[in-house]
Amino acid sequence: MADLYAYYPGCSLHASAKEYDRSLKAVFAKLNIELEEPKGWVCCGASATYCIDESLAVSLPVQNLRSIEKMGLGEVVVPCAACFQRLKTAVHEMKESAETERRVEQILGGKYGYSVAVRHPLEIVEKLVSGGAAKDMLIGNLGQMRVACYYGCMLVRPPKIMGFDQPEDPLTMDRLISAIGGSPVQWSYKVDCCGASLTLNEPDIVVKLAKDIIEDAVESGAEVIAVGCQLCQANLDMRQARINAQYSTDFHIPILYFSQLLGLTLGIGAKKLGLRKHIVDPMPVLARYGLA
Amino acid sequence: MFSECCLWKGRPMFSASEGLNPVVSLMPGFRNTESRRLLLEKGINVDLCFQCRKCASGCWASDLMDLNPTQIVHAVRLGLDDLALGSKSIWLCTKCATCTARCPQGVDIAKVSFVLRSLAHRRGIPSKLPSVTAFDRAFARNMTIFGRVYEFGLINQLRMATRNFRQDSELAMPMIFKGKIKFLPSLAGFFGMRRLKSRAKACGKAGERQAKEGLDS
Repeated sequence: MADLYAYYPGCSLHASAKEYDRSLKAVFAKLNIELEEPKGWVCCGASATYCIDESLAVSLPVQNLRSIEKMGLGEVVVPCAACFQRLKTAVHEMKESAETERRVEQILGGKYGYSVAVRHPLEIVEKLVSGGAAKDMLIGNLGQMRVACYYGCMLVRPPKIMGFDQPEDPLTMDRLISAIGGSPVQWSYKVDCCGASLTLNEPDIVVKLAKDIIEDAVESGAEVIAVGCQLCQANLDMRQARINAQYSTDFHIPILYFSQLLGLTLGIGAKKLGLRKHIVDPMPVLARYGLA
Repeated sequence: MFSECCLWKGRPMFSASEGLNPVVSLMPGFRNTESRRLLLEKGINVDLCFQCRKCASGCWASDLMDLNPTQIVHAVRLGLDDLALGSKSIWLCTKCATCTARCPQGVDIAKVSFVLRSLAHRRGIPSKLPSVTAFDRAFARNMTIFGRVYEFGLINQLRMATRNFRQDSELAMPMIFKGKIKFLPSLAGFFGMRRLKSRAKACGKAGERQAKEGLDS
């Protein structure tokens, strides 16, 4: 029987990061896991809403978790790192403060039973693939492709709330990449900040941060950077032209979602994985390894 | 009598002519400001800070900030709300939480900056980084109108707010060609959001009334 998880994609996976959504769904279908989206989910509010209206910012994630609870599901897969962090933080804040809990229950008009576990897809597929359960399903491998695994901030921090791997040197993605035949490089920027939402209003800052990250990845010998967050993907992928112009560098390193790399080894086609939707074309590198 | 037995640096803490001794008035915890109160409500005790500066050394934005994270925390300790709320730092923070993760005293520094930021929003304090202030407002507005973030609308809202129409114009074409821009908003979360918004508003009003009645009685 197929496993069933609730699926909370978040706003950008239905818009600018469609390829993440598509590749994840394809990978989960291949791994025999069903995903069910709650109907009428609302935005989690991200960190910006927290500064404007705090009780609304806590109510939004909990509202979504409540509708998942009503569906009778115990686990939700949250691919967007920002949503992942907001959902976990909101639950944490409810548990910490009785006053917040009371206010949120008043706004939602009911109680939340805390029965839904918030999970990032990385945790789930890593366990399946490197744990051996899905090993037979792999029909290809990355052929020792050198991959820099970039986690960003929101997956791992704040560690007390997120409880995702080790906060300074997470290895979940590295283990996944090794399991599918890649060779993860050792580098220093795997949990550094890419500037996230500042990309829309202070692009100069984001260009500098992205440059530092890409530079270190390239110097460490990486040919591809793997990510698990669409904000990291967008910042590193779209800013490369401007980085090259501003710092006279020559970066053309593809930024791929971990789900796309895994999808390739599961024999899913490039189109289904949305590989052509990136600004930096990953095809030349993938072709070198016979993957596209 | 009291003022005579409490000397600070050879001067009384209070005197009729000089008022409050300025040095004393800057002792941690002496001023009970709003930010201190808000933080304590959320279980954040800034007085635990012993200024090891791990937060400042790990912060990507330290060199762009006017006050680094350690100094912000210290400003809150001293009750210098105006200094902290008027700083550029609280707007630069992306809540990457490197500071929080590394603080040996367990102070949630990232949250300190966000609590200050929401206080600055509430008080309408002029921001040193208006584009970020505009982003917060535009995002919250966009999300509460559509139920789910309408990215294309958000970008345009921001351009209108900051009057910077040429920013990132070089990215427009590649993004359109790669199908990364969704021109129409998704309205699947519209009603859910509207329900929640009106409830939150009603609860906010009830809370205000309660607080007012509490003050009156």
